Amino acid sequence: MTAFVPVRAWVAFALLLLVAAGLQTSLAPRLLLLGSQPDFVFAVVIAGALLADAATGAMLGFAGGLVSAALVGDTVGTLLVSRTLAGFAAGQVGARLFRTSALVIVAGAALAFLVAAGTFALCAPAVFARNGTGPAVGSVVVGLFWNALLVFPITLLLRRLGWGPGEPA
Amino acid sequence: MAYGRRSQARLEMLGRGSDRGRARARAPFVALVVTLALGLCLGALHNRARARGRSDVVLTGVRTALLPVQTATARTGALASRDTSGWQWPWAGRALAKENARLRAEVSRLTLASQQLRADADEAARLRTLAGFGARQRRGAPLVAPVVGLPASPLFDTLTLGRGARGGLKEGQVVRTPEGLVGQISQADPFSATVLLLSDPNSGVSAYVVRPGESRPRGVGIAQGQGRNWPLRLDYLRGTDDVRPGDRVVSSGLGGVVPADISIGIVVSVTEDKPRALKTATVRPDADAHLARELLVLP
Repeated sequence: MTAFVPVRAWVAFALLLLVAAGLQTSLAPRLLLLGSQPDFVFAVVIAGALLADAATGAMLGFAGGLVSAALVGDTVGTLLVSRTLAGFAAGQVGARLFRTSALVIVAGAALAFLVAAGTFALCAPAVFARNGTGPAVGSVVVGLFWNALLVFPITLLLRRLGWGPGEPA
Repeated sequence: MAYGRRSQARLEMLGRGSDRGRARARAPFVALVVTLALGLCLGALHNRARARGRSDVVLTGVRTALLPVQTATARTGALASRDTSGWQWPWAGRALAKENARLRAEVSRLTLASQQLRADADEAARLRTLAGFGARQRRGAPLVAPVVGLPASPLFDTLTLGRGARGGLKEGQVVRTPEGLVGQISQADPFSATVLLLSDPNSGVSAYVVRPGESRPRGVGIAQGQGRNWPLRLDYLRGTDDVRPGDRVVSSGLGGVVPADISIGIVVSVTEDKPRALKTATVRPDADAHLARELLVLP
């Protein structure tokens, strides 16, 4: 499957990413649940990667990691690597399995989130489990819930905005 | 290399039977390797810049680009929640008038209190001179900075201020609310700054335990964060220190970074580590920076 995305869809995606960054520091912290909060930037990136291919997914993951690292200001390399790998994984799912079905989208988002969380835990274990292993695992479980909730509607929105696989020029 | 007919057909279907097909199959992995390498380089450059006390140009640029969006969403959120519960925001005008009246009364009260404090400070300075102590260096008036971003990740407790180096903020400056100490500026970009909150596990400040009415502190320790919505931990109290729940914790001023006597919190519980002859206190912080719209930065 070739992912050819028109320029206007890239512009729409970039704007959506900006809005997600704004919401990440205003709305997301108010939705803290069992040590986890929604990650709007990650959700937008993964939704875009699921509709594209692995190469595009890796680049989107990198872009999302850069935005997250700028907002957080710490563990920059770890965030970039974990988000790039997550975008790549989501892109692989999108390239091989994609259907506009909630199950595939949610499963793809869950896989991408687990890749990101697992990479982060491996690269920065002291940060990941700073309050103990139990709370860390709990935050991953709740994080899966947040991602599942966010990625599906964002995927549908991106499709409406023209983002997705198409015919090459 | 010769393949059987079925294998050849399968290879052609997969697109790997040709050079173009092989290149296409390799493309995602090439993209992955390039982006990973770029990410590792940026991470290493960031760590190097921070170790030298400089700001990371790439992240500073990204943060500056994101600042207008953060400010807009922060203001929208503030308008929706300003002293109006839930769905009353269309009548924000009435709520704003009420808040203005309350703030005017508060200003009057604080002006009177400030005058009294100024008089007390003058008397303390005179007494200090009489006793032969040197004059304490006066700090300038605190700078007010709006909060435009709350913690973006549950693993890091930082805030973004909508004022940066061009507005007089510098790395290391202490940040507080009228209620007490909140944290320190960890990074100052040209137009924004990042505050490392006291509740972040990377944060620590030297603190005294004091009891109202007593002139000498009951103990000295390091107040450390344990994460958002977790109490602070006051470590390295001596086992012989008489610290009890209800005692106040204030900044000690030791080290010269954080001024003395800024309120940190109240002791909630004390646990003993008898083998090491130490005590640890759990402290409920006085100030909650996550609810503040503006913070005070001490110059």
